[in-house]
Amino acid sequence: MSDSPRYQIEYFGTFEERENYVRSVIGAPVPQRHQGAAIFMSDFLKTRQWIGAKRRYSFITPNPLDCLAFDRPEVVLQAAISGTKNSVPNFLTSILEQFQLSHLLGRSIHTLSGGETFRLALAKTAIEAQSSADAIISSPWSWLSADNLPCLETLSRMCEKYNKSIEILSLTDEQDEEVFEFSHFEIPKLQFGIRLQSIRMGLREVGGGDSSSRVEIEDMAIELPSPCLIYGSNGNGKSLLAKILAGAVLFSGTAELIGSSSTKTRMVFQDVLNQAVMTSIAMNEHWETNSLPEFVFNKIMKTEVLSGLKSRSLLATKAQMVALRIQHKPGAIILDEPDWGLNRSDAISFLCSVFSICHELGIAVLVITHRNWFNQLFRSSVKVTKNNFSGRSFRIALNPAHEFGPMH
Amino acid sequence: MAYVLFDVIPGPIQRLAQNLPAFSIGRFGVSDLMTTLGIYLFILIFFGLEFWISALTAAAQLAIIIFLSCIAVYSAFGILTSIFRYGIDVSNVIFERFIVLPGGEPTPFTAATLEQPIFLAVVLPSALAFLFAIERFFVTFEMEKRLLVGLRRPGESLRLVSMSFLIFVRCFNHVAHFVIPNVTQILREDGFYGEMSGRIRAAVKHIYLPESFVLDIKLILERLAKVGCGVIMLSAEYIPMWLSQVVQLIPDGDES
Repeated sequence: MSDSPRYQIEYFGTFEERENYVRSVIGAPVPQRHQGAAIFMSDFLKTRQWIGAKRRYSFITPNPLDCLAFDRPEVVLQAAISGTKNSVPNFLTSILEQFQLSHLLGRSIHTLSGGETFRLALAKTAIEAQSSADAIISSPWSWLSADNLPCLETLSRMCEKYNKSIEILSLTDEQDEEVFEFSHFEIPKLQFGIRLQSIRMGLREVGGGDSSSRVEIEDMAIELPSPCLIYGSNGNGKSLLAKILAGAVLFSGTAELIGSSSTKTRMVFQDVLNQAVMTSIAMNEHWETNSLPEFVFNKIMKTEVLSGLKSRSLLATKAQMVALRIQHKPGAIILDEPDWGLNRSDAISFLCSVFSICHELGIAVLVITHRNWFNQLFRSSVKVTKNNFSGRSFRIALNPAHEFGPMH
Repeated sequence: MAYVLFDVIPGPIQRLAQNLPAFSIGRFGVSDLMTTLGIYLFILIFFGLEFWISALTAAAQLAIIIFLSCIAVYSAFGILTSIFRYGIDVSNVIFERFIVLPGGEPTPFTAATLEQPIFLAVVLPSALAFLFAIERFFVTFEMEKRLLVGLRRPGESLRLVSMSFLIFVRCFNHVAHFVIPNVTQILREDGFYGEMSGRIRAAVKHIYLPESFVLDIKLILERLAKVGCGVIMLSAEYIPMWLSQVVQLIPDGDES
């Protein structure tokens, strides 16, 4: 980060407080998730106020993919430029270079990684800064790995050039990179096997997708202690690897994550709110009293730090998703960026609770994160790197380590 | 405990999901046949043989399932009815009483059962072709850019038309490139396809047990309806945002 940041940072205790602030400033233009039909109609009607508003914002939502509704990055940026009356030659080329997007232009948006999606959202915001838009950005640190943080500075410079402000909405201690110290757990082993993975990336994911977009994952078979950290820079394939292991995407080859009790692997996605919508609507029965999910949920939520949080908070949703996923005692559970939307202390308490409960049940845990908040919590790590670029194809390499030390 | 999770889904949508009809009965005539041939020709010319075959295959698979389901359900009801009316002598009843009326005319059941797969064979490829066409059209002709130009032209009516189309394009792109891939991944992680396959196998096993069979089908349809509701929820919550973003694309001072 710059020594003298040219943006203003507002801190919030919880995800909900931050979302409420955004709505108070911007109004309807952010999705109010899962709040019911009445709230939806209220938002819908508020768009009239937005039409007449003189002050407008360019904003990046907590999940940057939410504010990019096009199929390819190229179209997102062209649309943003169309709205600015920009006539500078090679302006798009310059933006692409500054935000390292040139190689992503033709890819379908949903195949981009979280960090790449955030860079695209930053580029869009930078373009919109030329028009009347000030920028409001939610938690860039949740998405950008350290090597991509200079993109934030780039945006800052551009906004300064056009005399526009940037307001970054952060959760408490979110920028704090201090390593958390923690005592060790009793740990189940985790057998981690990858054999000749390959995946085609495209709208249909397989068959009809763009065959020129292809990802391969190098073979790996190793036994690692849990909890295991999967780490790597933005766009290196961490989430993709996790989705393959959890069976969330189609692929060829085999992927195994074998815990002590079962070969089944479950996963909690980074944007857990979308996952919760589908899960809650699919569930048709109430949790029984004294059932395992209820036990897990209560154990997570009643820790000292988390006990004050509301039952409908983002954290409660995460706790529910974990509880539902471990109720049938899978071999392993994968948490993709579990700190997303949580302040530092809540994130650490949440992870400690999940590790403790899962290990008590003999379930191994894998965590994907680019933060070093939790370094001391893990007993093993797998570094994910990307190489062998060829057009839209690349190869993911996995470097496991029994001993902790991923960020060093 | 579960109220926390359930409260986030509006009650009316939950109730709607639980009460959706099993499926709609289609009607098929000569004009429909001509339309079908026209659609197939259109698909073949513009999308190619491969797409037509894959669309038709999907339709045929669904059609067979529904066709067999229809026969099983109605036969089961037939057996039950005949047991009540004619004692245990059912040998002559099912095929005559429930397929052919006394005058030799086919019963409404026969018509509905046979129409259903034909109806599906038309509707599904048409729907897929329509979606595919929209996607291809928007990408190929850069619809978004054209609409943006229209948005900045003077004339309120043209601007309104451009805005309406732009909102539609954005909603479509959002559903096609965000909601559907997301939902697909979530469902796969949740073991949805395995669960559905298991339930369908169970239904086939119970084909001669009317009560179990009907229950299996009901569970399958309920689960599918809930997935549909989830998709609608994920799609609808962004509409106000797209409305405001489209308005933002109007250059300063041009909004009326």
